[in-house]
Amino acid sequence: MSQPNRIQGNNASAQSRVDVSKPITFSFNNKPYTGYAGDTIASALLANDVDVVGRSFKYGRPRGIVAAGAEEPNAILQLGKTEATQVPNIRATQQLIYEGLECHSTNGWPSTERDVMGVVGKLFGRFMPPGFYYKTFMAPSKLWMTYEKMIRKGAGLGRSPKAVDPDTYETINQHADVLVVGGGPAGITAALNAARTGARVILADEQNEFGGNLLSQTDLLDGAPAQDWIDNSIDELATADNVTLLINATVNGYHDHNFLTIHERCTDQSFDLAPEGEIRQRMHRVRAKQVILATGAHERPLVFGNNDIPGCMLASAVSTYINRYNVVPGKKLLLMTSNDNAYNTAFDWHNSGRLVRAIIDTRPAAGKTVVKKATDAGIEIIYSSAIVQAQGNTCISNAMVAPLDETGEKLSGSVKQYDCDTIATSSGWNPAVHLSCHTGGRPTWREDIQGFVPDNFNKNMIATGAGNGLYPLTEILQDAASAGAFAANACGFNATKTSYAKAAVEDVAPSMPIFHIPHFKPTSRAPKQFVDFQLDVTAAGIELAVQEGFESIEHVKRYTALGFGTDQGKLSNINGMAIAAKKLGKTIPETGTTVFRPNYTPVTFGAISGRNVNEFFDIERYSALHTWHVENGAEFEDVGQWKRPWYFPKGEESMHEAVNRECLATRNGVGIIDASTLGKIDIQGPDAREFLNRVYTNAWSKLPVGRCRYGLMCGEDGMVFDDGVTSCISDNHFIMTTTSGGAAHVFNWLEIWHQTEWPELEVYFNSVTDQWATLSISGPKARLLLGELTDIDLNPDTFKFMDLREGVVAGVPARVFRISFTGEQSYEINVQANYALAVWEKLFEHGAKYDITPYGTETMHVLRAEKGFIIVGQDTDGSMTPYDLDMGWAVSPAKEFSFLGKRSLAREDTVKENRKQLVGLKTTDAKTVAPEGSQIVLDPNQKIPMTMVGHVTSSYYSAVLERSIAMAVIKGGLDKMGDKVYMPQADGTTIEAEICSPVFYDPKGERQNVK
Amino acid sequence: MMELNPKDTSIQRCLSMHHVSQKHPAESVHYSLQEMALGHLMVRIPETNTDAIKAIKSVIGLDLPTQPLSSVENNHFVINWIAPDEFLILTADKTEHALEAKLREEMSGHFAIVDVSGGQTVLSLSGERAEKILKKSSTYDVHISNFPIGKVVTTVFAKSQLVMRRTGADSFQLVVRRSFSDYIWQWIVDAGSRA
Repeated sequence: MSQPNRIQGNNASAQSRVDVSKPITFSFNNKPYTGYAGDTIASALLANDVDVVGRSFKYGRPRGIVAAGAEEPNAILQLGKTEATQVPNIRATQQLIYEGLECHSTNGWPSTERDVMGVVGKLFGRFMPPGFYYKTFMAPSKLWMTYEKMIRKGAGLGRSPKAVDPDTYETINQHADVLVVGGGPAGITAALNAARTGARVILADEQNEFGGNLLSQTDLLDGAPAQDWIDNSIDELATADNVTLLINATVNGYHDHNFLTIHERCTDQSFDLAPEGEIRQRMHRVRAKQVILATGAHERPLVFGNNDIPGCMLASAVSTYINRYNVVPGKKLLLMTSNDNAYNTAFDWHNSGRLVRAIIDTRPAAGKTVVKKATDAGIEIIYSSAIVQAQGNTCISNAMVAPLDETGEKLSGSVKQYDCDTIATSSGWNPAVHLSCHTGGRPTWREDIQGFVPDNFNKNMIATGAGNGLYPLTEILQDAASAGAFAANACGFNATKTSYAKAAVEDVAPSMPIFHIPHFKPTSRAPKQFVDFQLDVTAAGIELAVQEGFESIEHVKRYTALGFGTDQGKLSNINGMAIAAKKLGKTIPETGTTVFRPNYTPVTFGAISGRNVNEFFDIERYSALHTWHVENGAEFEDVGQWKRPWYFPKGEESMHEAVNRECLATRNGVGIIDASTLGKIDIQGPDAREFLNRVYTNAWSKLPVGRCRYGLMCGEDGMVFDDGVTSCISDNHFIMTTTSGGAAHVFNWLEIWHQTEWPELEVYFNSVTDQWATLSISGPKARLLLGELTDIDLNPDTFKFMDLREGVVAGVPARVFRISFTGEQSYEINVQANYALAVWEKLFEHGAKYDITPYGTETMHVLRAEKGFIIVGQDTDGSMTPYDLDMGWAVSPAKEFSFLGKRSLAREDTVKENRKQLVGLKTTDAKTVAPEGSQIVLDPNQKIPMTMVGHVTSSYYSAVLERSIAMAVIKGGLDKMGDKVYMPQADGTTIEAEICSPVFYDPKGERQNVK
Repeated sequence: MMELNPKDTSIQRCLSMHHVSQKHPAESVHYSLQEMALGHLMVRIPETNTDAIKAIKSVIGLDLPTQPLSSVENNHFVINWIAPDEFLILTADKTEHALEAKLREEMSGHFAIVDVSGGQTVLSLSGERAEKILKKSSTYDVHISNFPIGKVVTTVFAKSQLVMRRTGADSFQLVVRRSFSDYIWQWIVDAGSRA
């Protein structure tokens, strides 16, 4: 396949970065094309003379490639060969081609060539002012969603893949003395000067190779092609071990404290799907002491009639395509400029062997250097003139040129037609100030360069080069060298001299401040003069917005959508502001500035999540017995980050059947649960008892050595937030247990009160949750089983309920607590976690004859509910006092020192009548298990809205009682024993129940105290 | 204080990484990851209890590393600074009880010693990819200029946290809580699988 716009032979650029020996085939909108290695999609399409790459957002107008970098507004493509590898909104100017690449226009449903929206736009375009959609489709408002869907599809933005992303992404943390953003002449020079001091330097560039604008221009450095200097410099940096070089890596976000995020595309430039074992993208999270912004600048197009016809391009982009890619995007060029720099585009075009129709300069004169070059090349320069209107449909056929008056605001003569197929324009450059705004900087307007530059908001950031409004190459290099040395010195290094390459000094005439080319007709009647190509915002639209009363640039932006596309208005913002300012009769700085937020260019979700997906999405904490649980068929439940066995189904058992079996086995024989996840805090020190007195509601002064006690913890608000058993090992040594999910919070709570309020108490806390595995056996046969395996005297007259003993169990040293969460005779065996499995297996070996049954959290919940034991967080919700739980017995108001929450327990609200109180519920139909969360009413016949008096907190079927049991919180419930209550359900039925004590089983506690 | 290791050495012992290291072996030419069986004692002591601090030196032969983020070691022990009044003493496998008994015998006043040998473990991570693995895992600056040999930090590690200490140019010790073992081991194996 031919590439008609590829420059060949003697006219080919020697500095081209494409490798013509490596042809590459790719497809665009299902048509195959050929380019070369090193081509972007954009350069390859231009080489193949593809003019139209998409349709515009609102009017459906054909659009072509405008730019050659991140600022491209039109060539926004959908990339990907398979559903899973779809990538939306890729800039064709930044994506290299690789063999087999497939891409499509995102705009222009149902087709780019002919489309519905194009017709709509053409017919009704003039009736579609800003706010058109909102104004037109306002009523009926409920249909907006339908309209919006169609409009969005017609307007077309990229779509997300519907299949799971098969690629791997990674995050890496980087630390640097100096991070240099941008690897053009300024960035490379700054990096060299910083790195030579020994500072740790990161140099990152978004392109596939270093060099920046030098790759697009024909400058000589130190008298040789710039590429020689680039190669030598990068070699030096690459071999220094204090330097990290990153290409295809966009510094996208500048966050507080010089924390920056770099989005590196590792395989995107070569593969649709990353090869096995390689990651597709990497997010570098960089903390830098100093940041040098060498971000360069984006050229500003001039705004004129029909300036969106394919073939209208930025002057610098045309030069880039010619010099870097050996692609000349047309046959006849008409150049319009307000500055000397863009003349180079005409020379590059001329050198490629094609015709430069003329240079239209808005100024009355140009600099000597460029005028001489133009004269030598025989190129006509037309001063004090402008292109007022381009003509053509899917490509330019000719352009109307007219003389300008000296203000640039009016035309001063008659039109002359120029036939051409390419119009390149330049109204100067906008420094890429984006990153400098991310943490709150406000760019400063500089009249002399007609552009915003970064302010000095961040003292650890330096802007240099074109990114700081410096344009002559020789000045860029000198300034960047100083910036590199300065940044290194700010990090404590010692740069004594700077060095930089020498570039030619040119005689440059001042540029002219002009943004919007006047037309013979008023802006509102003239052919559309586009400002924001991606969102179809015109000069007329901005003027209308101002007329309609929007004075703040932020309001104008929101009303017109200026700068709201995926390009964030990189080309359009300044032109838009200039037009608004002129209409308002103000200067640009008076009109305000627009600031930028992260990210500079779009970032994939994959790169943001990194490896925190699938098995790494959240931490799974395992007990020392986890493998046994897995091997024995446990179903698991998440408790905080812990994976706890939920129940152990046998064969085809349902959960209900398994839980009934586990419950009965524990009530009638012996059950065993892995309770290792319980939080355990070791407390040592002479003031340990006093500390416990202060953090628990009950009293600890008299707890004897070897005894255990249940305690409630309240916040300062008097509300219960944790509970557990604490045991006295020796006078100065206690072991506290907490809920599994509350362990970290309780530990912090203790430390905070100790460190901030009571540092005089001599006490230390250490988490021993992971140190001790807790194997809890429970049931009438628990003592028989344990007796076979321990040297501890289990005589119930001496080893009583709530006692603690140390000894050996199954050959392993253990602490055994006779405490019970089931209401049965229970022993909690604590062993060092490394030996947990050995003891656990021994218990099963000896327990087989007692039919020892492992149970999980569900059975534990049922067994404890049968006994009316609360679970903090299930039966409480942060609004329950100990009294609300009918646990006043666990509160000791008489303690010498106050305890946390005490004062709140006497508040008006906490002592009022009719607080919600914890009670038991027995459904009238014993088989009906009320859903947890059911709302409770007293009058089932009351009309909606009914008066709700409480809700069900726990509800289960009790196998041993052969009926359903529930716990609930009900207003004044403790005084309503025996009353009937009702629970209306979503299906219209009502469950009837009777209020009762929450202790359903063995109310006297004979089983747990059994002798 | 109890000796928590059984007298009968035939009783099966499963260190923290026992299962995960079998299921996800860390086999790479680029790095080495191994669990070290060691005794762990957490010591909490106020700086005002100088007698007890001296007693520690008499038992261990090392001054407590009072310089933040530092560690000291001799042939038998490593003491890691964890917090101004908190230190982690690592000792040879199964010697923790004897050491604790000796310390308690010599120390007086207010202090706490807790045996956590089963609750946490030490991973030895080394090799040319070791530092890179840490960079993928922790926000702490692990470059040798900021994290020299002997320095010890408690820091975030992926979504978890741990204590890490540099033991050589390319070698580190990571102190990991037992219940986070699987997560951290697998994370390291995953991070180490790519350059």
